[in-house]
Amino acid sequence: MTKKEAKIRIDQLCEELQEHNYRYYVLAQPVISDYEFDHKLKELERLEAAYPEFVRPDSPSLRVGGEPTKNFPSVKHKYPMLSLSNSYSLQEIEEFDARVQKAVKQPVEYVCELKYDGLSISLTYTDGVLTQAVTRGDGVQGDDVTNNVKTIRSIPLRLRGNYPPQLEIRG
Amino acid sequence: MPHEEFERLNREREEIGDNPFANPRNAAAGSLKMQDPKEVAKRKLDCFLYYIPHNLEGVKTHYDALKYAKELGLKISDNMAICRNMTQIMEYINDWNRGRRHLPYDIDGIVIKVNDLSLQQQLGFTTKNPRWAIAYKFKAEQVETLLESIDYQVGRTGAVTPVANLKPVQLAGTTVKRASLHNADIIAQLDVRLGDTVYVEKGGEIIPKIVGVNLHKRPPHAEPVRFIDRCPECDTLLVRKEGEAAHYCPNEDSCPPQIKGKLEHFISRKAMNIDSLGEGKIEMLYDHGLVKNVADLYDLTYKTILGLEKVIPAEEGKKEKRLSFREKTAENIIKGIKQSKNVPFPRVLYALGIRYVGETVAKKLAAYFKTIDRLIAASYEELVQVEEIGEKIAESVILFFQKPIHRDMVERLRTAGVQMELTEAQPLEPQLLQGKSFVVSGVFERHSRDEIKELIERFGGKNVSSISSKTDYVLAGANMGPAKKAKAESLGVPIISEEEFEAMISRKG
Repeated sequence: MTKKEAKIRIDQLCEELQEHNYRYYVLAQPVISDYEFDHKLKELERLEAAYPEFVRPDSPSLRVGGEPTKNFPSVKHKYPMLSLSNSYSLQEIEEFDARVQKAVKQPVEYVCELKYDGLSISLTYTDGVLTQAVTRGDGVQGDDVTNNVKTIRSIPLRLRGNYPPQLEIRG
Repeated sequence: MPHEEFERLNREREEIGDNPFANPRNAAAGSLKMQDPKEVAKRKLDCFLYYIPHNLEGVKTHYDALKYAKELGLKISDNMAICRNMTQIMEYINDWNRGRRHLPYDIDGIVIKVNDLSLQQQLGFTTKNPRWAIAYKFKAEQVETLLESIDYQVGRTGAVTPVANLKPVQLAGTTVKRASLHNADIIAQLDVRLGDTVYVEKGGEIIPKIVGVNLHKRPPHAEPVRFIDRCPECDTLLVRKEGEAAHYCPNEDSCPPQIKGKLEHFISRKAMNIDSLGEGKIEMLYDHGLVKNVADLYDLTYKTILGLEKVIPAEEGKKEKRLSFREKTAENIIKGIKQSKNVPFPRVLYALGIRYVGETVAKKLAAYFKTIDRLIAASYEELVQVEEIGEKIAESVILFFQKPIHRDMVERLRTAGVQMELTEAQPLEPQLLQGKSFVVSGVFERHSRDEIKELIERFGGKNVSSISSKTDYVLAGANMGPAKKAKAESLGVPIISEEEFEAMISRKG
């Protein structure tokens, strides 16, 4: 296999595996068996070991974990990560609604979502590729845990479709 | 982190003497701060995204922003709803307060956000929070009940777990009778005492936990709990290692749950792979006094095990169950045990259940020392010279073989015919190609043809010389004959490259 062929194959495997990851972890509709998936992943890992210069930052092989990190650099959030005010009674929600209505002087539509018991993380995608994942920290700056976050299968390493050049999203 | 993973992780932590995580949030946070991403990968974390902090072209509402994110392949919860008034918000809250126990994840409340992004901007932020959103936290369902007694359970690894027996009480749709108290530290922290009235809580969590004590109802003269100092199963003095939360029973060779644990490990797939035995059958053999350590397995005969019976007494809602070893079962068990004599030495070493000697360490030790005798005779200095073997492992190996009972067990296993040394002919590799036939054709880049053929056999595959419909793969190098190629194609036999073949055998078994 020439260098050029290796690069083509690496790219091809990356694309394929990303598609399968998405189908498996986000849509929950896999189209290939775990065995086939592992098989392709191993091929990618092997090629990447032989041609480290072609390892892509969004490579699905990063899912199994890269090199250990000693510490997590502190990173300033571009947009502060504020926490939400908490309420424990329905009365407090009514008060919240009243405050909002009063401030905007018009009927307001709300979105209700589930509050998952977990931790918050801020993801940055640059040109569609996951480039940074930072914990909330104190809201102003958090820890860069990108390599660890890349192992979470439901987080895409590359976006699909018509993505903006820069996207920050939290979860 | 899903419930299931959270509970698995905490069980694992208790077994190795770590304090369990208090909730999925702590578990997830702890996981993301681990230094080795490979360890993080093993924890089944999940992530739902819910907020984009900047403007997107043409997107006017929060709801649409998330819909757009979903199109980009990001995982967004399906359980969002647009609510136009308080009544709808209340409905959403009530639905999920009830429905949350059916979710695979814990939720601790709901979040209400103003949908229109321009209104969000108009409302702005205080120094701490956005003014356009609020969280509503569910109250964890809580009841009071009486702590009647504490049982101590000994796990497969010897870890002792205290379990509270509670006066049965209804909580979040189920009857709660027991709750884990985890370890002595947790008992001390809660300061629970026998006869106390305790608060039991069930958040979204499936397993109820004791969160506190109603001190007003404490009976006079209630004494702090004294953790047992002897094993409830075998009466051995318990030990507690420095820095570990759990008490252990050190009697690994004759404490019943630990014996069963060792037997189960021995027969497991990655060890001796005796799949005709399982947890239940091991238990039966043990209960009948037939197997007290792994070497006893090889003394079993068809006659001694045929007809063994176990009666599982009737429980509420379940009928009495009777298990027995019939002809076929007995035959399979003996056959499985016999076959395990072919299991190569590295796996035997792993199967012995030496603390800290996992699969990989066992392989390294086997490759270095070649025979069990040399390993037994190895000094500490020799052991730490082996790649990946540190102090902890070296000490554990030495301690294990110091005990006459272990050396005796090794002798008995050897006499029975179990592999105690590496032999060249032995397949060291996982039999990934088992039952597959290959036709090798052409010239290869990284291996000679003979090397390729040898690899096929080492991984359990078969070499055949000509292509037929029964051939599983044609392994093609450069300059493969066109006739062969045409034949493979016409018969639909997959043609694979050297790389693909390497990938097939590089998969870890």
